[in-house]
Amino acid sequence: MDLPGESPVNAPVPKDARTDLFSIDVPVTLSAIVRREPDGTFLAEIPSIPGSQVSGESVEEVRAKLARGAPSKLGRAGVVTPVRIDDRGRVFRADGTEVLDIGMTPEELLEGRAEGDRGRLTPLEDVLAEHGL
Amino acid sequence: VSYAVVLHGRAKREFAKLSGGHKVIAADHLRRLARSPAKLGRPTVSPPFPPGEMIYDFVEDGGFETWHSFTVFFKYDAGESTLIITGIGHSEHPRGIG
Repeated sequence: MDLPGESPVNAPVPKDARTDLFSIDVPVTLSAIVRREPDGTFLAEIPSIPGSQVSGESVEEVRAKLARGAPSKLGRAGVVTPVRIDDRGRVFRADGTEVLDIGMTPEELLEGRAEGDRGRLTPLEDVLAEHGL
Repeated sequence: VSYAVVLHGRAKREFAKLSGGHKVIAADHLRRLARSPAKLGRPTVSPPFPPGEMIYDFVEDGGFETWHSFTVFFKYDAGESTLIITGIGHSEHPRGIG
């Protein structure tokens, strides 16, 4: 089978194309849950895409943000199977695709892991109270 | 049913480094995570991640110039009634370059 060369994604497949591998668009409609906050802003999330929460001043704004962010989030859903974390905390798959930014270096990620949990755990509410929250 | 949430010393230190506004945002997300960890969390693979932990990541709008990404590392305690937050990562990104 011949593989496609540098043809742009979504380009029409010529009738005489010597390939049986090509891309098509698949329109998808996703439903979001929107909540009006006490301050009048809106919080929205697509339940089927973990981590898709956005906020905005209007329903149109949160819809636009979700439409922008959902495709990349969809690609990131599922088990996180990275192979490399660089020194800026960016997580990459084997094909070089960046899938996550964990905000810490590999060394920082592992720091303190060997300490164990005993005596080192603080309830969330106590932590928040320490910070006046 | 919501899980109890406790922070490991390391996550507590990382939480303390967040700005005031980001502390509020992170606290809100930690409470959401407590309500549905299975839905929001994603399993990780070790290495490079620590074994047995899950990830919950979210982004927040930082205004015209920046956006922020947060990553919460967590695991269930032995009784599966408590979430142990083992790490909280945060990074700020300029708009327009990913």
